[in-house]
Amino acid sequence: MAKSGDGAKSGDGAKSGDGRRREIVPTITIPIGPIHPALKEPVNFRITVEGEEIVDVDVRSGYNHRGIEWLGLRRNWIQTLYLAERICGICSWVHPFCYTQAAEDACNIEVPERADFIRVIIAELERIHSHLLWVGIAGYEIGYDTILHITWQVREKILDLLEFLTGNRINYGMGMIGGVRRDIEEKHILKIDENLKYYKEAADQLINIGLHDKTIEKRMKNCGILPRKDALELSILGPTTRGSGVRKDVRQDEGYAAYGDIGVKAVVPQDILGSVTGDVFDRTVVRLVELKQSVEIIENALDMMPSGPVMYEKKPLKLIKQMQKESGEGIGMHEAPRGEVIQYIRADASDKPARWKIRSPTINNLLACRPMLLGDQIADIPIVVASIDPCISCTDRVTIVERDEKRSKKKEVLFTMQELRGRFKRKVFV
Amino acid sequence: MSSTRSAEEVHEEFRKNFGEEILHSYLQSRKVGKKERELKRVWIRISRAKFKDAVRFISKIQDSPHLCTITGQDLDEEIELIYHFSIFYGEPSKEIKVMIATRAPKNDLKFETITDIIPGAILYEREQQDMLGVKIENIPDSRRVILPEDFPDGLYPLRLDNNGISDGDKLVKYGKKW
Amino acid sequence: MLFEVKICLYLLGISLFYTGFLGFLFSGIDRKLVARMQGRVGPPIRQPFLDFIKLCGKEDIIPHDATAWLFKFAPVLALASVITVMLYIPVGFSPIFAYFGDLILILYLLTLTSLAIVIGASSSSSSLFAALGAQRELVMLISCKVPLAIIIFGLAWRINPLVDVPFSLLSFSQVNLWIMAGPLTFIGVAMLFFTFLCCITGELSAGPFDIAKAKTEIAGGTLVEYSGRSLATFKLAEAIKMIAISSLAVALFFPMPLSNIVGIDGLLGILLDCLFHILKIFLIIFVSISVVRTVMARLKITQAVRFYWFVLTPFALTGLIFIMIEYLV
Repeated sequence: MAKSGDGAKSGDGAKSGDGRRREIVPTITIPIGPIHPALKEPVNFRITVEGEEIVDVDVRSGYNHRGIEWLGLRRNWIQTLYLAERICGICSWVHPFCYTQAAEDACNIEVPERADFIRVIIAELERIHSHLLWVGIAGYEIGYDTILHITWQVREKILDLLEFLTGNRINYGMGMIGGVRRDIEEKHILKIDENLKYYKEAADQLINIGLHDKTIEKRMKNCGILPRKDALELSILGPTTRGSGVRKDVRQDEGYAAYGDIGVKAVVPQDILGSVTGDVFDRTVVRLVELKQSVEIIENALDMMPSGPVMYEKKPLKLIKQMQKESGEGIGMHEAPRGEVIQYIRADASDKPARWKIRSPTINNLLACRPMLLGDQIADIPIVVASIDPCISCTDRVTIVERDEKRSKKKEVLFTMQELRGRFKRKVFV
Repeated sequence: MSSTRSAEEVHEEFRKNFGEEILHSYLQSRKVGKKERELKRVWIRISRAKFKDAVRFISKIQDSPHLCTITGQDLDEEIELIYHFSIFYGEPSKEIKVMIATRAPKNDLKFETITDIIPGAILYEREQQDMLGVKIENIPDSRRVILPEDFPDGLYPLRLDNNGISDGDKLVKYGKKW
Repeated sequence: MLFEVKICLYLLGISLFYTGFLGFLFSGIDRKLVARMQGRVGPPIRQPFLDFIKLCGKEDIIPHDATAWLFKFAPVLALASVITVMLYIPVGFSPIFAYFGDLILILYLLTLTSLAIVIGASSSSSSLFAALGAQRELVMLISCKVPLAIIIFGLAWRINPLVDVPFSLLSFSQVNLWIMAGPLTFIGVAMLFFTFLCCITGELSAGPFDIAKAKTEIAGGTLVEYSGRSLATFKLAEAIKMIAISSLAVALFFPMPLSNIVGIDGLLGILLDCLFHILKIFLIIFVSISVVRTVMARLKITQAVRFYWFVLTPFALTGLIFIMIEYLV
């Protein structure tokens, strides 16, 4: 897949250029994945190496296909919204955010002003938790487990905050076509402020670690370089493209929802470090600085948030009825933590979408793996692959699993996080 | 970077350049946030013969336009591919989404590849081959990307006709086989 | 004759149990300490023992394409070589073969342990990841033996005029390296000691030098194909190697026993010395493994080689030159 992505350029260059060397050094092909400790989700990289140097990369995906687009065409507008929420486990807000925007576009539904701001707040809270998760994973990939444990401890707080705001740590159930389901009240704002203060400090500390830790620098600098030209040609998205110095950020470019009012500037390494290399380090810095940026966006959004209703129509059935009358098409997009998500919806005067197309950022960013990995060492594979922050469950989205009736009869037990923590009697050392 | 233009101007340029070849086109706009700004989208449906010229034209408006995705849909008689482009990115609220759509009848499902203009389109084109059974001509790599290698041939999940997966038997059979 | 062999075997058994126990204890303590430093609860200290016992009861799976006898022989070779090392290194009391072996033999046996892993991983398991791990293990072996050899030969050369047999570990207990000459020697010895600490990290492939077994890169590397009793044997060998090499550091740089100073003789004195020795190796393991493991990321193999050859080797040589200056001038 990525092999043909940039056609004959780099691949053939390597082959014809050192033809003689190839004869001497035997190449071996290492399969990374579908199951490998460096990967959290199934995807297969076939990497050809000469000694420790990578000379060819091929990516195969499709191990996690769940048929969500197919399923979406068989559910009504509101049911599909809940399906959209379950596309990804980490970014459980980005897909409903996109879906609602696209559906509103297609069916001409006006969103209340306040709802747009609340959507932005949730989206940015999610970005903080997703980026923190990524920093942890990146630390783990380079064998720096301390970073993993510390960042994930920091991340706990934002999940608790999201639980306080929406009722769930993930899969918030907050989205609704034409608004959001829950308002942000005074008590919520107090708690958000308290957390933002904490995260401001945490972000500063993390940026400090990221910029000045010697071993992080040793592992991340000058590996996995994605040139600006490749980033533009392959339509790479999100922090991956911003790491190469391209000012591409849907929040800035499009100014959808309340982002245009708040004013967002794409974070690029040339503004922070002074120069762009396009390596893993640059992408890390972009993500770390975006943590800080998200905190600022939430602060501004809270300041500017107008009062008013948060929903266009409170009764779902009435909403579906109204949408049944409309036909048209629309797109919704959002700058997810991993890059731009875009969804297309065609309404066909029925109670369900006639076509629902989801495009998550990772499918395109996987293309970037080839130019990044060529010429690097085997040791770089985990961190370079992690540097695009791959989310395969978003990418593949299809195999319907038939439920085993006997097994599922077990009664489900639900715990809140507090209860779960209570179950560990020992005090956690902080 | 080329200078930015408004959505109306882009729309007008397309109409002027392609004239009769444009089957249908319209501008869509939506007020967002505090309702002071509008999101603008340009929808263009163009004949299959001139489609590639339209892609070339858009890459003249903006160097390396951003291809968001390709949406394929089954419209009973025809299959439509919508190419979502964004141009004028990089500046606050200047971006315009341009949707260029083209159709092919089901007995002649052939589209031209645009990977020579935008190399990043490869995955989306392969995805359309998987999901809708269209044939992208001159595609550099036509392996499956989303469906497994041993997925039955001639079965395209997102088709709404007999070649697709319907709610009933085929899916169960597929599930048991696995 | 037969009687002597029997005694030797008994002693070997005692040495195995004692050092094995210490090794697992220290790896448990290390895991717990690292966990605490990372802000988590961590496994109980007895975890390595439990792992070992459980692994011993598990099936030994030999890969299809493996050379079975070599695959099974490698862990035994590793364990045998580390136990043999322990016969020459004092662990609080003087070792069984105190008057036979010398430092060269110890170096050789330590190398043999790594080589056993390489043999098991590369030539017999036919796994790609194991082969890559073996390749890296060999590179690590070559790179971190250089500064280690410099330290040992340098020190042996320095104490040559002071003792009868410079390459014997016993000689090191007769002289105090730190105060045998002026301040320059002290600095030189300190530099060599620091180099030795870095070598311990590399020898035991901990923290930044966990390259041959890199979990996220090559899925466990050298030991990826091992399971059951063979894996348990390797784990035991590695635990003993940790004790062996840190005891070597103690024997070279801090051989001073406590019993002489306090003035307790007999069995109680030996016990006191043992406890003192345990404290010393604990400090060395804490500094060179636990702390390093917590505060550093894994290096690439090229970076590791560069560190050992172009940073640590010149550093050790400088330390040696300091010692030489004071000795020769």
